[in-house]
Amino acid sequence: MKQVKWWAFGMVATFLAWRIIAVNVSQHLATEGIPAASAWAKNSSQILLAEAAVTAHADSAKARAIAEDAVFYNPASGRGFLMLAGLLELEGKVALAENAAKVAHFLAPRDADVQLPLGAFWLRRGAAIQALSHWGAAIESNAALSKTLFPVMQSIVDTPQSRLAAAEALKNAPDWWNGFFMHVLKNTTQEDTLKALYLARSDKIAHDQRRAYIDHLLDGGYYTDAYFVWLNGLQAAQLTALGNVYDGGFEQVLDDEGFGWRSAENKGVMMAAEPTYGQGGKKALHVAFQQRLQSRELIRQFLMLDPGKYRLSGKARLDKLTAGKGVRWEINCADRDGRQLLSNSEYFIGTDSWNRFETAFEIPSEKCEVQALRLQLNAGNDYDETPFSGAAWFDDLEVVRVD
Amino acid sequence: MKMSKYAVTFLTASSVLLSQAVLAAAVAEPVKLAQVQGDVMVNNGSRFVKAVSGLELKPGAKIVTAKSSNVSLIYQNGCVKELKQNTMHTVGTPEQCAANAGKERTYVAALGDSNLAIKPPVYIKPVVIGFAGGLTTLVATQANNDSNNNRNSSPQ
Repeated sequence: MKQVKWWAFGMVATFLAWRIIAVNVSQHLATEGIPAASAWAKNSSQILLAEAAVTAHADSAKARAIAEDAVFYNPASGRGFLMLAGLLELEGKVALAENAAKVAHFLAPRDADVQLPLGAFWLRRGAAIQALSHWGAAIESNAALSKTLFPVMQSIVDTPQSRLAAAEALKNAPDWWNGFFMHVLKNTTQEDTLKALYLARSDKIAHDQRRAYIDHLLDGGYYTDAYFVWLNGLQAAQLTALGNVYDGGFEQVLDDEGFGWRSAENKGVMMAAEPTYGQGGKKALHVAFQQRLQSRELIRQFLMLDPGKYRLSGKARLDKLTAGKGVRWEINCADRDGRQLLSNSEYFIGTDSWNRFETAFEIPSEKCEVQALRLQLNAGNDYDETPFSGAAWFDDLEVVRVD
Repeated sequence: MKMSKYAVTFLTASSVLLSQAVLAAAVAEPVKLAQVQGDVMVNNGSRFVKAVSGLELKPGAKIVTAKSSNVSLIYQNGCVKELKQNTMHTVGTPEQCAANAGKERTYVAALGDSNLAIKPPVYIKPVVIGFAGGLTTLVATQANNDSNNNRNSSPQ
């Protein structure tokens, strides 16, 4: 009895081993040649699909029959229904083809090899938005596809007729949306495309994407758009810091975005909003030098002031600051075609307790729609090799209209 | 003689007070905010503060409406300026309102949304304009009636 059991077990094991070998060998051979593959596994769904693909151009009806066999042997194959959809489309049986495509998507919603051709299928059918959703699923499964698909997807979003619907369809896409937005930002020539994409997802857009979009708008001279994109991204607490100068008291995080404080990447100088003594609120801007630097801008903020006369004022404290000629606040026009310096404070250098400074300036009525308030370092003479050290603190910066 | 001295003093004082009142009216000409909805910020100097209905502003003050926000500006000459969302507006004089002139920057956030276009100001009959309590409702009703009847539109 025990021997019979072992015999039965051996038979089953041999059969299974044979099937495993046959299926795998046939699948391997299927990539090279169908006749050899079908000799190993005649009723393999995958072999039949490969056979249908080869036959399709010569005899679509025969190919469809083979594809139907493939689906019969593996009714859970999304690829089988995808093949069937393509063949039915070739035969002009559009309604059946569309149904088969829907089943293919149902069976393989995460299979890039199914989703990619499904997108093409729906694009041929004139359903560009549906194509986008399939390509999105394909990219989700295989991120490398983004390189090929992003330009095609962009062309759909660039088309005015499908722009809004496309942006809406894409808004809930996972992480690859950020990459797509950056691709479009870099490549599109149509501002409306960017606007549609941004607005569709503005409530959950990432900091980097918002910042890149605002910078793009500023570079293009779309100052008002840039301002409102930034404004509408502020939290309720940040709105309280709005003014002619945003957060002149440096109480908010320096988030380097839009019309807030933006610090340039500067090795050798550390800038942060930090607590110190004697300041107006809880924090002040701390600028600490660690090594010698070239003359450069350290931190800036774009302003949207109307033409007229103003006064910039603030408080400064200096802790043994050695930095060439020193640092000073400057206000200049920041339009694309107007960068004139409007005014500047005195240079801050050395050691001093909290002192108030102010300077008057006037915004001209032309070529100065947007302005920049910036802290500028003057490194002094090139031959002076005195290392930079010490720190400056700034607080309560404000711009008041005086006319 | 003494009587005429008093009379002269009285007349002089009266004329000074009157001229000051006239001057004050001419210079100040405050604009009143009504129907404030959402995040509407006003800047009277260097900082923006949240606007509330009934707040009075002088020409030169800046108003910013964020998304899904709007506000109406009511001038003393009866001109009403409606600011839609995403607008940066510098308050002008009543005459500028009537002429639909003045500094305004608007971000039309919704593509193809014609409702967001800047509307011309509506004129309210000066007789109903008074800077007293309950004005907001009255003006709103009046403005609606006016626009519905297609009358009293601004001279455009």
